[in-house]
Amino acid sequence: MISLNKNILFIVLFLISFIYIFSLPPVFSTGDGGELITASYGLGTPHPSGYPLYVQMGKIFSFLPLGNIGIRIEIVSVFFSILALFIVYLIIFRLSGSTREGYLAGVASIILLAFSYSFFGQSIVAKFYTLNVFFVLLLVFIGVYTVLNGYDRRMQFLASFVLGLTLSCHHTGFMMIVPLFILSLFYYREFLKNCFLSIIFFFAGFSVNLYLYMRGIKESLFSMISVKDWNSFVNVFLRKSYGASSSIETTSYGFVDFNGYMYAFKNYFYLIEKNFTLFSIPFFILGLIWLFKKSKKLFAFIFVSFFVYSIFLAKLTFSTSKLDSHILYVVGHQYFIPSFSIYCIVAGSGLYLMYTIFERLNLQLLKKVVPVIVLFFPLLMGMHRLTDQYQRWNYVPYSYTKELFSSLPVSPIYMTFGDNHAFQAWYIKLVGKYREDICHITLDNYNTMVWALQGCKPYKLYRGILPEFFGGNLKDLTDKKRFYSIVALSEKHPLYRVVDSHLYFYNFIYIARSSDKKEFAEFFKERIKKIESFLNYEDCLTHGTDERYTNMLCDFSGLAYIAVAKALEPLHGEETSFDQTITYGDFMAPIKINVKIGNENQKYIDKYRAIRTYNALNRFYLLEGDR
Amino acid sequence: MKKIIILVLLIVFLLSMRALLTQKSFIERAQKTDNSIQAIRYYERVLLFYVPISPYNKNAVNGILEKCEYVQDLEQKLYCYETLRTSLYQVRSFFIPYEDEIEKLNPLIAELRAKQMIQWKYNNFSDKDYQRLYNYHMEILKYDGSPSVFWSIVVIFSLIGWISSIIFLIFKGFVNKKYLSLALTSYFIFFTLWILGLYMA
Repeated sequence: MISLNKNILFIVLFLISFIYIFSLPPVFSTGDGGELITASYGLGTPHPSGYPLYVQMGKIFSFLPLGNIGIRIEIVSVFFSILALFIVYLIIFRLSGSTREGYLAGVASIILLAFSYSFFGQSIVAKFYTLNVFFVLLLVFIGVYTVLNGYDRRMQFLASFVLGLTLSCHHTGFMMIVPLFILSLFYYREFLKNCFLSIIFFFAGFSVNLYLYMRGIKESLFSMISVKDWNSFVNVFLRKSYGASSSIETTSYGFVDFNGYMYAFKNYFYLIEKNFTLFSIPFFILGLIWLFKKSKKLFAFIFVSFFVYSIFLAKLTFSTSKLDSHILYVVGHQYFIPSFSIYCIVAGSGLYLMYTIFERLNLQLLKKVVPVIVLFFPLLMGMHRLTDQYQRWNYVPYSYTKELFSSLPVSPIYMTFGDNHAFQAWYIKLVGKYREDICHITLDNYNTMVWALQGCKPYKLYRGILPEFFGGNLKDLTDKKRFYSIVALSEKHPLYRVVDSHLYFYNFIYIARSSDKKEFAEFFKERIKKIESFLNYEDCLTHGTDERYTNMLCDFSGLAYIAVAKALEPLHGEETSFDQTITYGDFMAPIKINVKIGNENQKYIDKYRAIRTYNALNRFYLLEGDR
Repeated sequence: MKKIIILVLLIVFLLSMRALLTQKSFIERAQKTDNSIQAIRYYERVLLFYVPISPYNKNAVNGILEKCEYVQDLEQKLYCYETLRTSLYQVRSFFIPYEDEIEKLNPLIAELRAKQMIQWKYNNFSDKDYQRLYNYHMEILKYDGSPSVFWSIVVIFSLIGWISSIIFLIFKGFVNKKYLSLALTSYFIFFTLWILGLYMA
């Protein structure tokens, strides 16, 4: 029986690894993916808080001589996800006193967690959340181990060291200090004797952050914000540039407006329902009962850990009265992975309790049937994931950016705003070294002319081919039709008064307001006919995922089909109007184009409609109607 | 430690499997399509799933080069050469596969870029500017801001080294003085190497 048991765990972990590896986006994922891969490859510094440990882990995997750099760095997420799942199993197994029933409950719990929507989603993209959950679970394991085996100062030192390390990854990992401190203060006051050494080990872990300074003083391939002194370190580490979303500001929200806890609970409950279905809740309640009966210490420790990563974190970040797709994707889909893992530990304990009840009541049939049902039910969730999160063919973020680059003339300015377009362009240009003649600039705020030039370095190389830009003569550049942007201008933008933004391909071209309109119309037609061959509708109709940013990119790419249809429009035909307002944070740029439709351009309109239907934003699994 | 090594090997095995299946799928599609740009795109995807000693790698490189010869339009030609170059750069690890091809591609790309800049009628360039533009583009193509492979390897191994030394110190160092000095010595050596590597990489 023991060898069969061992095989079950191995088979399950193999199956999960198999599905994860085959679900990875082929080159890079949307969102932070392009940026984190570029930073990892170039040993650079991504957005605050810099994530130095993740970046170095990515660098290790980037040396695998298999596949491309992007997918290798995505594997970091799979690696730590599997380790995290193993810890979940281990905790349940140890809690059960290493019994066969505990073993089965542990295996069932990891299947439940592995195929839940958000855990699955974060396990297959280039992001630091699975590394973070690995640390959180390691700290939970240390707490559980201490309760089960008694105080051991080595565990205290290890916890201190790991807490230090969490601050070089996602800062939410550090919140484990609360349950650990409460456990120590109430039950293991011996820890006070070893505080001094603990602090030393904490700083040893924290010292991974020295990376930020050491790489900041060097001119590295990529750096979002360079750390060159103490002040810049504090700015990056505490994410001060995010203002109200900085680390300290955010934490303070937990202690004001206590009504917000009601929304936090409601919204978090919604996530539990979407990730684990309501069937998991009875097991969770049973688990809490069992933990309480087993040990008050254990119950207190696990309950506080769960509370901190669920309701408290939801209060800080997820307590809005109305959930929209953006907050569900950016916050709901990412931040709560640690709480979901602890949820599965408790639900697994509940499952174990149920097995023991069957055993005690000698219900042999149930004892045989229920484990099979419990193991197979989450596997059905796995089937679901293969229809919404299977990104094996999701070339969209890669091909979209590459085609956009291909459509530009030699040595242009390409301006982006917002994360997606900028991060993808950095990967293609800095890691892929594609179309290095393009000077990619990133607009920091929509209503300013403040640019970041990570995609146009070293400057001395670009001065020769873009003297107009470096000499500050943007007008000359627009006259030469070499200023392109992802940004459609609205009256809020400073350039609005002097240039017009015209639809070009997946993007816009800036032309001086004074320029000849007829000449531009000829230029537009000529260019579109030439670059039409770079259009690729296939990827936006076959990516097979509900991933929100992929759908948004495809939705945005529809502009190119309208542009081509416009360039190829017949002299006479039925005129159709296309309205597509693009939002840039708080700003909106409306685009309205009238296109005459005839035989020459009908197919582009059909493709446009097909792409918009396939990528409708309500496809997103976490979004359920109007909330 | 054994479990982690098994996990890494398992991941490598599964990724190799996926890479080979992907290569096979795209090489077949590339050979079937009549559309040159699409064929280049499929060959690129074969290369992006590079597997050492896979016969598909060379087939894809040759396939792209064939298409580059075939297409006449300068922009499509540039797309083609640039695609081959980026595919090879994206699969580099501690070596760059088919590095000799990149050496051959750089002058071709610089030439195409310089020519296109002259042909772009909104620029005020003439044939006299060709050499200057060519040189600028060659300079950009040759520039590589990637960190040094050697020092990057030093960084990652010394990071693993000093973290392991601390864990060793925690579990063994307080039991036996011999282990304590061993752990502390290795920690200081690895930590120093890590800092040095970060600066040099």
